Amino acid sequence: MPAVRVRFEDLAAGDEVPPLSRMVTREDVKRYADASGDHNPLHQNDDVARAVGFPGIIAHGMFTMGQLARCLTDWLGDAGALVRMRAQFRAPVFMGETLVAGGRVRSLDPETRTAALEVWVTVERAGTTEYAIRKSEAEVRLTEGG
Amino acid sequence: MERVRDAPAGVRRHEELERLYRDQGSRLWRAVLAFAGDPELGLDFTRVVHAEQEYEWRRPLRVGETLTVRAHIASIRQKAGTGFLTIRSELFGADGDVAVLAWATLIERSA
Repeated sequence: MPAVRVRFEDLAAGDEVPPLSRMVTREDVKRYADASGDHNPLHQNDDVARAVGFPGIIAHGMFTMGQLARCLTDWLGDAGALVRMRAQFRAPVFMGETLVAGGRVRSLDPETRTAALEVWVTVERAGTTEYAIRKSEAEVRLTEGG
Repeated sequence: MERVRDAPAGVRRHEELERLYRDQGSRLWRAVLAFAGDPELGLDFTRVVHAEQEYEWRRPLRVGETLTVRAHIASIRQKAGTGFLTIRSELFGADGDVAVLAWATLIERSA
């Protein structure tokens, strides 16, 4: 756990969460399939994935969402501060691509010490930025002294 | 160790339930998949995508804690040939209280 925790008093609307990057490998997707029990061939078999128009297998949406959660909890320094997250999966993620998770503080509620954030995960593909996760949100609650 | 028990409402394949009991690695998503795989729903998985996921964490989960998942269909709707299925799951902690709420929305594209 990082030594520095985010303090509610230090947050302001518009603040950016430090982005977290990670390249997706076959090994990651295999391990995610085993952990989750989701053995859909789209995540395991290149031929099946090509048959529906992808260049090869795609990562699980929940794997991508996991990177987003990690981005937030790394920033917060307290995994328990993340109280809600909603992700919309908008684009597939292919092997060897680099996920970049990020977010921005949208509003603050001092009463509940809760911050509402807009969150996303992007990949750079053929010179354009694709949103694997977009129009999504998270809520973090920072307890007193935290 | 995590276990998934409590069949959701409605018919579910017996062997699927057995598998969930046996498998010590079971997690919430297994329950969702078993549910979505119910033959009565008749979903064609080659046309299904996971469109949206939401979690509400009421407290952190502890390592070694046994969780119980109860899932039900929150809504099924159709729009322009596309089907939307939302499954709401409650994860009960060892204390019997809901520790996590989750909503998964799956889309089945028209054939």
